[in-house]
Amino acid sequence: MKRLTFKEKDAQRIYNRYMDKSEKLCKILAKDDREDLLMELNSHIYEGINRSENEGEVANLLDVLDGLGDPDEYLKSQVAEMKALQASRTFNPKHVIQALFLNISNGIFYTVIAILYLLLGTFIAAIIGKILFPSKMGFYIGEGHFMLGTSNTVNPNDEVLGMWFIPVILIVALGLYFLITLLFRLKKRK
Amino acid sequence: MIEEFIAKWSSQVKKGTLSYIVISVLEKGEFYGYDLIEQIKQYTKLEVAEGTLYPLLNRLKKQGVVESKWVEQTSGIPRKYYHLTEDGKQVAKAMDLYWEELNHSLVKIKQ
Repeated sequence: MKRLTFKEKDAQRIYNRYMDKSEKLCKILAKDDREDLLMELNSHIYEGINRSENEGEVANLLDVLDGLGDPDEYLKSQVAEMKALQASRTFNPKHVIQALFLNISNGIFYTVIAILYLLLGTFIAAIIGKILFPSKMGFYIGEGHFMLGTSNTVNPNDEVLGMWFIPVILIVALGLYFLITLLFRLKKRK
Repeated sequence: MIEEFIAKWSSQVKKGTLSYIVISVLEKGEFYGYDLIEQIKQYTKLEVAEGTLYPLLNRLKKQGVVESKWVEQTSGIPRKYYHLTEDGKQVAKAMDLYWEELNHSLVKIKQ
């Protein structure tokens, strides 16, 4: 992206600081999304200062930047939405977790997704636990209770999955993962 | 109290109709973000914050109502132009119809 150049040193400094901060905030996005967002921001600043009626570059630039607001506020929702889109396009857990983190304040949907993701993490931990401690980790069903994990208080005879523990939990975890991705895609269509 | 009430109500109306206003302006042709804000200002006297318009355009894009394309400029700073998709044109017609009906109902109430 071609950055703007100013004759006045102060204007250049203010502009560079604004763009540096914006770039930093967009770093979390995919390259194409990041460039698209920053290029549009740059284009808006360019059009704004060229139409401004003030005298002096600093005043022109400040007018445009005041209109946009602080990059934190201006970019927050856009970055969060773009990240959610990226998460819905890919199966990459990194993007999903980043999207959750950015969108958690945007409503109950992301809170539910975060809880589902936590559950997914538990299943993966249970599989690792079963590999490391095969005799202790299990799915126990007793009278009026059931438990996934390991405990000294449960009766080992209550374990119901045995050698099927890893395949069953893996299938459940995969199902949950596809459910999370599906929910993201449904949200994207809304 | 009256001024406060009207200010709140106007803000709600503005929020609720902004997507309709943007779609209506885009029915006239393709515009880039800055130009779109100017057009809205010119037609409606509404001050649309950039922080509101660009996320809205992104949402409309995501919903398939608008499309965008980058157009190189001699200045070296390209512009991102937005235009309505075919679905977007249908949405615009449906919104016009709904708005007309709403307006008609209000006129009837006021008579």
